[in-house]
Amino acid sequence: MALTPSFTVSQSFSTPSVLNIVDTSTGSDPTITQRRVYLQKADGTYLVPTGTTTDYIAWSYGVSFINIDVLDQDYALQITVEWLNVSNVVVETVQDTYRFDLESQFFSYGLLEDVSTDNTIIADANFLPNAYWLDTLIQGASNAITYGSNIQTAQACLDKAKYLIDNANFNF
Amino acid sequence: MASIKSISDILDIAKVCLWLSLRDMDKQRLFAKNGAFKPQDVNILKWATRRVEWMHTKNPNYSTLRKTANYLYSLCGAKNAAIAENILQEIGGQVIYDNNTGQLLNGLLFPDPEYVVGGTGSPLSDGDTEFTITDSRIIAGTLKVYADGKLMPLDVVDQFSYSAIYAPTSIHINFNQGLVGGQVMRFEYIKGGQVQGSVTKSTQPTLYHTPSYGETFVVFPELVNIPLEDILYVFVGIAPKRPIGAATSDMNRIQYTSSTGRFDLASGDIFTGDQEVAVSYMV
Repeated sequence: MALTPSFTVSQSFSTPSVLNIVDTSTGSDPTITQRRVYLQKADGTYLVPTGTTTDYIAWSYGVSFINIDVLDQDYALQITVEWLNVSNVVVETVQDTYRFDLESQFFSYGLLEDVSTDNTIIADANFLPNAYWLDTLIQGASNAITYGSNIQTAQACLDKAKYLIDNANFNF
Repeated sequence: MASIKSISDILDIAKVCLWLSLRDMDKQRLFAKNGAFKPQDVNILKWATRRVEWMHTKNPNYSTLRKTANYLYSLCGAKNAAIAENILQEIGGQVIYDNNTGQLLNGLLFPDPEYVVGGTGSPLSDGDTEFTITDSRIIAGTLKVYADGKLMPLDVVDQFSYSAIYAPTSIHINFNQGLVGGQVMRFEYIKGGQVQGSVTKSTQPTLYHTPSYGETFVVFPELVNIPLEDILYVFVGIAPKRPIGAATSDMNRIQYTSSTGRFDLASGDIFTGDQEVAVSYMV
């Protein structure tokens, strides 16, 4: 049966910097000997682990999954997986857009932890509006991917969220 | 002895509180009355519900989840949470419809009988100090009594007040002084609907979208042919909007078109580009 290529991607909850990619293809193609993963950012450049000199990350065809420790912040990415033959000719390609927002999600949840510890925090005029704003940005990034497959808009939301978080002393 | 609520139960209770408070907000009834809920309370309730729900989905055993969930429960307010819990118990957490007609068979009903004391056919007479409402599936703790349009206090001794004893099929009301002929008495309470069918609907994951600046409507493909009655709440930014089935100029409302899953802002209003639209619904 011919190969029907597919893959899934998730962000590690316990180690948010790690992407877990699993090959969920069905069927087979005896000509395929290698796989490559491209993590393209909203600015068109590629995200690769430290020390990688190519735009892609080599993924051994003998292993059905790969864990890539590459997320140094929240990203919206276009992920492409290529299945290639021994001559480096691409046989199959699957591409999709994703968002990885655990840092923002965790920080937002942490705000609720703070409030549940000391409810007087919400008396700060900035706290709740910025908490709501952060929540909106997280959801905006999700919507941009879900409804528009738009990593530029999603990344803009995540970058604004990062700005809120990086300046937490002023914003919360 | 009170039992410890599960995180799932707290999320259900919070969502019912959110729904009821939004429903009653523009009418200043029940949940929104007497400071029970204010718009800012609804906003923080919505935010906290979403945060707890996120963590509960990601890791139900997360170390602080119990603490944040308990805080969410406290946001509901003791009385409102109890009422929401009663509602969930009364309807089993489910809303049941006739699958042919769409008629609500099991959900919430909001009776509000009104009588003139001493009036023709009125069950209330001049001088009465007690009254019993007989009904089915009454939800304890939901009664509000109005005398001549003014909400009566509960269980106070220095002014005209009442006390209430609830049973599933009745509410027995004692007034601390006799009713006066000509008074208009109104009794508001909540009851569960009658169970007749087997088709159930359940709350779906909340939908979100942030329209661009200047847009006047938003379409959710997931809502196509979802009836207005199944839209639980709509937020635009942090402002709750009551969905209605017709065009409106009331900025507190939003027009919903079931056939297309579309929400149109009130005439003259536009999205500002940074407002997230959040819709909770049932299928």
